[in-house]
Amino acid sequence: MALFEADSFTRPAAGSPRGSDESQGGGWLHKFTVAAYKPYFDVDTSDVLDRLKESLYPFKGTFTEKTATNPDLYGPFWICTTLIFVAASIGTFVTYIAHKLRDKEWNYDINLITWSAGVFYGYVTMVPLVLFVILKYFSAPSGLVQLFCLYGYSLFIFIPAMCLSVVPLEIFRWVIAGVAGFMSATFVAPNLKAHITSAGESWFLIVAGVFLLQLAIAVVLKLYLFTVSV
Amino acid sequence: MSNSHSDTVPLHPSSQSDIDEIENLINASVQSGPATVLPARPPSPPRASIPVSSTPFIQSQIPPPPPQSSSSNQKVPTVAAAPPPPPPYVGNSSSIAATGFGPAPNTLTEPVWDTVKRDLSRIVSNLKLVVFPNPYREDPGKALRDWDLWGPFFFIVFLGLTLSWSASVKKSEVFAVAFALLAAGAVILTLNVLLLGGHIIFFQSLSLLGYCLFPLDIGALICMLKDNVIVKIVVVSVTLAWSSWAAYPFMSSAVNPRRKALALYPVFLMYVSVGFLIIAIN
Repeated sequence: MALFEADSFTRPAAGSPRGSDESQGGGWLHKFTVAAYKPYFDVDTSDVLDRLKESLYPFKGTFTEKTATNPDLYGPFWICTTLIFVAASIGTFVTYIAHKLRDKEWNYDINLITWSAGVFYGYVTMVPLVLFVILKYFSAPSGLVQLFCLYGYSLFIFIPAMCLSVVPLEIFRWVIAGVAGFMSATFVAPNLKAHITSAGESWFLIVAGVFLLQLAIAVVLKLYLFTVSV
Repeated sequence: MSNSHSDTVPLHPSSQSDIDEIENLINASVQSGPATVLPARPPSPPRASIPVSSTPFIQSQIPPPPPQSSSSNQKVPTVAAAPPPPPPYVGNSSSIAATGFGPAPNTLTEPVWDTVKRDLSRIVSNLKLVVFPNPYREDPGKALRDWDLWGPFFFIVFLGLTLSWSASVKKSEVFAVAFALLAAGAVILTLNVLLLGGHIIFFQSLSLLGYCLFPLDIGALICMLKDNVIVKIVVVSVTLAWSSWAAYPFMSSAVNPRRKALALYPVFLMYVSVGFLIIAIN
């Protein structure tokens, strides 16, 4: 087994001391090894479950304290991936039921998967990046990984919300989308506020912008996935 | 694929000619009788003839040099006693040792049918180890020693083709999405375990995840032939459970027990999403 591992891809992970030695010279190449991202996956099952529970409580603002020293990328990535799958499957199921109820021809729309993948991965990647740049500009910097972590966990509430949206009542779906968006936004905003009250007058604008963005994504999801035109 | 198989053999084929040269030099320098020179051994038990010359990692039929025969008698037992990892590989594929330890052209000049037959038998044996109940399941290190990537490749392509055939519209997109999902999924799952601090070998893990797709292949084939939704759901659930059961020992033993669920959940997610794709494609 040792011989096998010697010529395997675990070498980058095992060779992290070497990697850090070379970090002056091969600095940017080091970013492409597995070892560079290992610190961001240093969580146990109980930690992840804790953070998921935190994300369900609006108005609390304690999430950033808990993850300040140990932000993880495991949660954001797998929450997004689960969301993509849940969105695609529930969206498909909803259109299937709607077509069958009216006895219409139904075909599987493979674009649902690709579209929802683009939306979720794009949202969790782009918005924290932009926010990071904006916060730096206002000299209230927050770590980039902490922002990824925050936004990733904020999307968790949409998983149960989408499962509930199977109910074919239009008003019910709008209510669910609204509640989920609101809860998600009120999770992100207080956690961000703790960081940026030092940014001067414009902190309120930033927090309000973030809040509205979160609501917007909830609305977009509802419109694209759950609006069935038969 | 014989090239990749030679990766599991520590002896580089071209160094065999060097060994032959050294052997000739040693034989030429020996003036005394052959009493202290061990006869050349047959290829099958190479462990018994580990030389005590300068390169201990070479396992060949070099007889130990006679001037060092006294020290060699002490050295040979210790060298033979240390169980180096390569012998099990040699033992598993003794037919390959016969051809691989010989001059390299033996595997290059063998008939194509021999190569194909060897690869096919390896795929079948790996499949039996991974997917069907067998005594080696609890020890993942033993389970897939002789991993290869042909099996997973066939299974992924077959699943993509079956889904594509089942689809009535956008067939090529369905194949593309299925193939990308499975291939990227296997890579991401392996990276996930590595990032969580687990100890696995990258390609061995890819190989295992590919072999665990075999039950879903069967499920997809049945669903293609029988287009009833209830039957599809039942078949997919059964094959999904089978695939997860096959992948469980390997993945769970690769990481710290406190992170077991973190490593297993994505595997389950991927198989569930593939199962869903099988049900939904009509």
